[in-house]
Amino acid sequence: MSRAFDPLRDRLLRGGVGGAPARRYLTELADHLEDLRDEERQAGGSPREAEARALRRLGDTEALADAMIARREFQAWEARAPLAAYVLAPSAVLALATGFWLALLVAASVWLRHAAWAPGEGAASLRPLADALTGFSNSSLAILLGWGLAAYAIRRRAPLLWPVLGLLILAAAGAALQVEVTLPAAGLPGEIDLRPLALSGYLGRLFLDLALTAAPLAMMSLWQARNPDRRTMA
Amino acid sequence: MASTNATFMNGVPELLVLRLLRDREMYGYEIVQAIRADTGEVVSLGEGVVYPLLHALERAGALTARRAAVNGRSRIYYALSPRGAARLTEMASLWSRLTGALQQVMTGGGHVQGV
Repeated sequence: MSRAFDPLRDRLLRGGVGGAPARRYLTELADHLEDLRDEERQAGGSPREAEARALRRLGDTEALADAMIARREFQAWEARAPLAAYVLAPSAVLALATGFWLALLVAASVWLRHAAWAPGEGAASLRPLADALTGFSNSSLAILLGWGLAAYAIRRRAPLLWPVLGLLILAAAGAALQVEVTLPAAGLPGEIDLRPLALSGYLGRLFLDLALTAAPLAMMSLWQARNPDRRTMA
Repeated sequence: MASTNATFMNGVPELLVLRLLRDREMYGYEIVQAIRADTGEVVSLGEGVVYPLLHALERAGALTARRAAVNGRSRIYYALSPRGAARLTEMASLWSRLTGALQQVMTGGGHVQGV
């Protein structure tokens, strides 16, 4: 597609228009521009004049963007409900993902405890897996979700307020959600603990998580601020 | 290109698009050129802004769209759906009553019934 539509694409996304409606709009505008160019060339004039006249007839970027942005039905859901999209959803995914792997671990542990081929001892074989999942969940899950959130916000040209708030809450929840798993052993039940860190440990962890989760968004925002004419890279 | 007073244009592009597509399916460029030609360029749209209207009408079920390749180019053709035909009938009726009433006022006629 012609680079001539890059500013319009950027403007549409910043105006909250969904990705699919924006793509289709730009595709049809590009086709329309081709037809206008052909018509203007046939009417005489140099290719440059034909191009300029065709672009003028198509409409300026602001008018084309406003016509689409004004229609609520083309607004993306994250533009209609940014609090839900950038703040509540990532925290909910963090909680659900943690709950999901814990539920799987409990189910596997119960199944192995009662397995006929390893009565009472099978759950011990889950130790490496439980350690890996616990380590990943405690140290990396919130950060990875934060990167996903930042990538999405950059791609959608979201105003910084909502993703920054989302990253703050994600980092705070990630630092607070420290899980410890004790697998069942012979005669002893298993245990899942949610252990809050001591305040000093929590603050250190929060600062680290926040720095790591926010790094991509901060770098991209900085890059965009220094290259205002190349905002369409993301 | 003639300029069109936006104050008087509310609903007009939609009515024109529905009416044009009643006869045959068209793609965006054809629709805009047909509006210019059929109205003697009295009604002229910024050509690109017809697409949000077409997409909104399609989303509302008034139009159907299909992609077709013509002369090596991919086009999206729009056609009137049964719901669009009903909408056209309703809008055309309203428009007739409105223009009739306005005409009566402008020519200094008598009492005008509610539209």
